[in-house]
Amino acid sequence: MIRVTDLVFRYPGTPFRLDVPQWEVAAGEQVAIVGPSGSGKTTLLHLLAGILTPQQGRIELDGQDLCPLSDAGRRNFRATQVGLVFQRFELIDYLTVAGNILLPYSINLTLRLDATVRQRLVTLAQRTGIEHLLRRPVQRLSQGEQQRVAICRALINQPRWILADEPTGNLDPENKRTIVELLQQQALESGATLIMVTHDVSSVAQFPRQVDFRDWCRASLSS
Amino acid sequence: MKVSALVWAHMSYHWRRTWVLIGCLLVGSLVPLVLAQVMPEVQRQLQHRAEETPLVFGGPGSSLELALHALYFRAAAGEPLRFEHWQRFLQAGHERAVPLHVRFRTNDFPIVGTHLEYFAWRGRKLATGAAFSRLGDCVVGSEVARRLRLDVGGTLISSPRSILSIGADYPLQMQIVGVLEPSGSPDDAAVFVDLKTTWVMENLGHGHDDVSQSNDPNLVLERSRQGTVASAAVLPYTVVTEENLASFHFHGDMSQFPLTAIVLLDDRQRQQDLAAGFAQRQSGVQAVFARQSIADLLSVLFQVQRVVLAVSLFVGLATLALFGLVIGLSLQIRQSEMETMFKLGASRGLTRLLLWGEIGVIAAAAGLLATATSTLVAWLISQDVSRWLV
Repeated sequence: MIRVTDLVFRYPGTPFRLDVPQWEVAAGEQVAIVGPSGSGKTTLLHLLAGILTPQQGRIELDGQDLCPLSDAGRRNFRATQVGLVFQRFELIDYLTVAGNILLPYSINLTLRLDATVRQRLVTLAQRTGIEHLLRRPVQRLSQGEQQRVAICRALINQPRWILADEPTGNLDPENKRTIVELLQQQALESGATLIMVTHDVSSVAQFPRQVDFRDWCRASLSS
Repeated sequence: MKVSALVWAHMSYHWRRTWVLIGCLLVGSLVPLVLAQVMPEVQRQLQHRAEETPLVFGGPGSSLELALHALYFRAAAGEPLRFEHWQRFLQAGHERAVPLHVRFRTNDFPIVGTHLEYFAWRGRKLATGAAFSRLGDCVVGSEVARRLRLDVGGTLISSPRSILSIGADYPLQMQIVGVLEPSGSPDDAAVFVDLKTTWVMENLGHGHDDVSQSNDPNLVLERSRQGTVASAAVLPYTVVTEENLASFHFHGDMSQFPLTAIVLLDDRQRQQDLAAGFAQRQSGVQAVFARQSIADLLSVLFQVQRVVLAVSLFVGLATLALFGLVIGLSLQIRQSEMETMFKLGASRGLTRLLLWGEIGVIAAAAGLLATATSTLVAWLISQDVSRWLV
């Protein structure tokens, strides 16, 4: 489970401040966090992923506090435990679909690329309907296909937490629904906890738990 | 391994940019590398030839031109000597003085009129055939034989000195009687004939039909007790054969016939000093110590090299600045890619390694190409320094 306690985060040199007094997500839960743009949703996801470190408070994932971890420790945690999906897909244009999905294995020494991973790649591609695109450059894909690639990349390391940052932001309504369903289905099948943040209320209807970012979190521009 | 695959993928995807960068570095480094390899070889070859030919004599004119002419058979620019000059050297005891008459070419190779002693004093040996013994015979250098695919029994035809003087010089067909062993010297790319053969090319001597018994008024201008004067309608032979050899004759005083240079192939310092002193006492003769002339030439070459290197330095700095700019812009463009990798668990060090790996591969590729190209160019130049330089 995820437990956030008395979290305070500020970007150095800016008036932005994020306060999360208390928040919990159960293991395997699927949560949609809705809030306006610029409210600090992405910052929260980055804190949960260990990309950012809070000035105060605790972030525990299955009882492990991320805050005291070293930079390398947080990277290792991210590489092995977290799957990240981004709004703008953030695919590497010079790699093929397969190269993008396997990217975590190319850039992390802790992950080992073996036959099992390659089999997982094929399985994921089949489940998401992109198995015929594996050798294709990602630039030639449609936006929906690119987001599927991004989802496969987030799932390839069998993460325990899937953190999706506005994954439907650039998609049409049809693709929005498909991508959300895909994320939920993959998380369900792998038993991962899914946290999706979005400003788009229409895309969270399928989530069993929807929370308003502002209800439990205070992001403010302090003077 | 993983990083190298990413570096390779990025470079392959942006292959145009990669090749432009490699090309920039290649161009920037090629000239200094070529110079660094070529200059020592040029120096070695020039000095070696100069040491083989310590002293040269010629008519008034540029001493450097004379040295290059005598050493590399470059076209003569100064005043010619006369055959009597060489005879005087011989009479003075300088038996290692060898006459040269180099005014004609064949297939772009110089025809060197000289005596057989030239081969002996230079230590040249025949690979096949024999030395020239008759008017019209020639011995070709190994490079001439190789490039023209000629051997003993083949023929070569001399070219007129100028296409505007076709009336003055008749082309002469030469019979190849010998091929020299390779010597790594300009002799490899020369055709050697007897002095008299080059005088025939110069129209100082010729062979033609016997007109003394002819009654054709078109062929005979004047008949007197002294002999018969043939008209221009009598064409000279353009090839020397056993049948017409006897008809070849020279007009005028042979001691006044031209030489373009005399080389002293004697490594004894005392003989060189004596010969130089003797030459100074001769009217219209200058003596040139080849080593000094080549040293002067090398000095000029090294000055040019310094200028070229200075220019190359600026070009190299500009290239590096351009390279840095492109890499800097690339880094900006790739910032989001690096950030994505960081978010996915890569260290900042790895993302830097990706960038430096690419720079390293480009630099290594440019270095390898520059080394290979410069080595090839240097090898080509060193094969025949005289052709490139002289």
